Amino acid sequence: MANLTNGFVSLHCAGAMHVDKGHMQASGLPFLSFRRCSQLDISRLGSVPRFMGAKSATVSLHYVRHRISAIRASTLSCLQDDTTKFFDFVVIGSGVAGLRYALEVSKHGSVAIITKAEPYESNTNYAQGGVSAVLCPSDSVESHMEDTIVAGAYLCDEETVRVVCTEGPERVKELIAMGASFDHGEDGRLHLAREGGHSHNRIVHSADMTGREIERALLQAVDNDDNISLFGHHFAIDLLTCQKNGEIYCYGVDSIDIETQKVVRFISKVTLLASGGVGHIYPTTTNPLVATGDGIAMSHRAQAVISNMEFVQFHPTALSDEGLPIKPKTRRENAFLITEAVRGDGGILYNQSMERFMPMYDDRAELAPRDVVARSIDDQLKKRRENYVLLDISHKPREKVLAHFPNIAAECLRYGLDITRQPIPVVPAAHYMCGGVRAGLQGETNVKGLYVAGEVACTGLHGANRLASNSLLEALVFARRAVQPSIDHMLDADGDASLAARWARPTLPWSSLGDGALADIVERTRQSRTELQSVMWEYVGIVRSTGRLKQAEWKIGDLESEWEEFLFRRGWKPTMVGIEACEMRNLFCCAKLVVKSALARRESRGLHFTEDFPYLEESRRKPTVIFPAAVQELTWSSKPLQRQLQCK
Amino acid sequence: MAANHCFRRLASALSHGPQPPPTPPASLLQRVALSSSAPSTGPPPPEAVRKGEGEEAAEAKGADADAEAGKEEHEDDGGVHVNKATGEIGGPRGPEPTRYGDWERGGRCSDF
Repeated sequence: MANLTNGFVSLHCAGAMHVDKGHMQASGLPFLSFRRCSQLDISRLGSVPRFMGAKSATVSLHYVRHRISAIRASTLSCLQDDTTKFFDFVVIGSGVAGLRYALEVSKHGSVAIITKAEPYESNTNYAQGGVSAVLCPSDSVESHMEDTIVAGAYLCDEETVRVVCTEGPERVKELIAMGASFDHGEDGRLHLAREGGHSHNRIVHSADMTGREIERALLQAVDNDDNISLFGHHFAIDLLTCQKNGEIYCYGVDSIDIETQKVVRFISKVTLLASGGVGHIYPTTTNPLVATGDGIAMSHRAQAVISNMEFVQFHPTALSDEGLPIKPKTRRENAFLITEAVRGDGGILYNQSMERFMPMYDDRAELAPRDVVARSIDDQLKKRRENYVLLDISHKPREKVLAHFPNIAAECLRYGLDITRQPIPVVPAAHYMCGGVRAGLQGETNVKGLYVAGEVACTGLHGANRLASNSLLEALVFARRAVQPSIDHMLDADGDASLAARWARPTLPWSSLGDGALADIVERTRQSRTELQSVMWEYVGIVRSTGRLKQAEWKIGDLESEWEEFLFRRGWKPTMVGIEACEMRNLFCCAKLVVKSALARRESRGLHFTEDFPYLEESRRKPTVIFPAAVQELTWSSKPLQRQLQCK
Repeated sequence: MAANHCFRRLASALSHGPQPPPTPPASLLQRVALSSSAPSTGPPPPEAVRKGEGEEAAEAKGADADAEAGKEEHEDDGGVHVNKATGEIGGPRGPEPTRYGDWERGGRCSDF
């Protein structure tokens, strides 16, 4: 196993890295070292061991110091103008991971949570299913572990799986103690459902709105906590980093206060990134609009290590607006997924020529595993150059269809489709990103003071495919695990308030650009986003090939340069920020990471299927890792707005 | 024939179809992993549904369960809904949302 710590400690990565020549780009985009990287041992990089000795001897001094610094933080934040705020902890994202973490660390210092829309707007809120945990006496951690590892196509990090499955039950109980209310059976015990892939009943849920219920309970607790300040409608731009003794430190984040249109700088000793997913690199996604991969992109620009981005989970059958008789007036924000139960109850899949295609792909036809169905649909769509297939349940008795699927019936009827008479147009939708910012067992990253939790993180739990209901669980466990290391780091960090002024401040374009130029830029950005999504779906979909991935690489590269050129020609400056532009650059960044990762994995495993390497390769059962670039980035999307400082 | 093979190629890598010549442990790994990439997520035929170990009163499946649930659901005195088919209090009405592997309500899936 290669020793990869050198690669992190030293910023001169080129020497320690092994370039995969096939993927080194002339334009200087981040290169990929895949074969040499087995499991990374990030925990060895954590700050905890170094400070252990000092901490035990001076714990009371530290406590006094941190209380003073906490008071100073709040005082300073009052004295400062609104454009720079000081906190002990900054949390980016208000889903389950961010909120859970904030509620713990707030006992030790001041916390700011920044979130780009309303606090409840996150993937968590839409996770209506449940949280998986071993809560039944006849269930076992080993069983949950095995289910997770099998689902993950054996790419999971075993230690991570053990930790999550072991600590899960405790985390769920804490949620209940915090006021989340989950369904019970008549015997008073938690009612546990069983989802696909689980060999035991272990899904804790709240009617059909588990995520929303958890979010509600946590937001309420946050509201009641005086030490937590929640900043809604604050869009995170870039992490503020500094290089010190060959290591990178994170000291906070710049953001746009959307309501006042001002840049607000958050300075903190510890930053938790819990910014969620990246569904909107694809045209059809279950994710809400906020999921544009901001956290992954910011981390990559801040030189954090990214992992396993090729594993994008799609659901095979989302309602396709394009196939509806009456088109929705506004574009659907998040996809309407059609349940397995439709196929289970006898629904048949047809292409638009009314050919039943599933038997050509699998003997089980429509009852084949979901991944097979997703790939088959994708294959049909790409080969026939069509945008949806048809799921037909109209041959079943009308009353049964309406009784079982009232939500589908009602939704389709709104747009002129009667599912008891006509087939339902469906298309796969991007749902969950298994990859993300590489995290160790404490949620730590290779950037000191930067922790990650939730969908934005790649902890090794999901491997090549996420097991149902494990995502909320992962968020809860890692948010909790990051707490103590964060506190330790915070106590040890030297709060140098003068740092705050040393990073260049992003600017807003209002004063410099005319309304006309701005409107053009916004419009052009919207078009570029649609084109990017189209390229991703067409070339980086469910069934991939080396040829199409390379085409995606070129097309995305061109799209990005053309878009940036358009901006700069209209007067946009590299230090300027705006929501649309920042989201777009994050989407470009993440899309490129997905393509690079997909190109690097020369096998098919879990969610990543490629026609050129359609089988599993035992020798390639390793995570895909993208290291920070050693060379100067050329695209605006790849550079942080504020140059990394050199400290001391 | 060729077309058939082309289509099958997609599935063979994913299911229990013919595998490339492997060494035994690796092939076992591959076969299990491939066919388990989405374990038990396909809608199982009703007879294959396994009951949970004591947690649920009954696994609801398909039309039969629906009829049962329709007849037997009742409201407690306090107005809290008890689902006779699943034994759950305050939970979703009707058949078990996860009976086909994913989490669905009225046909809309929210987790899988």
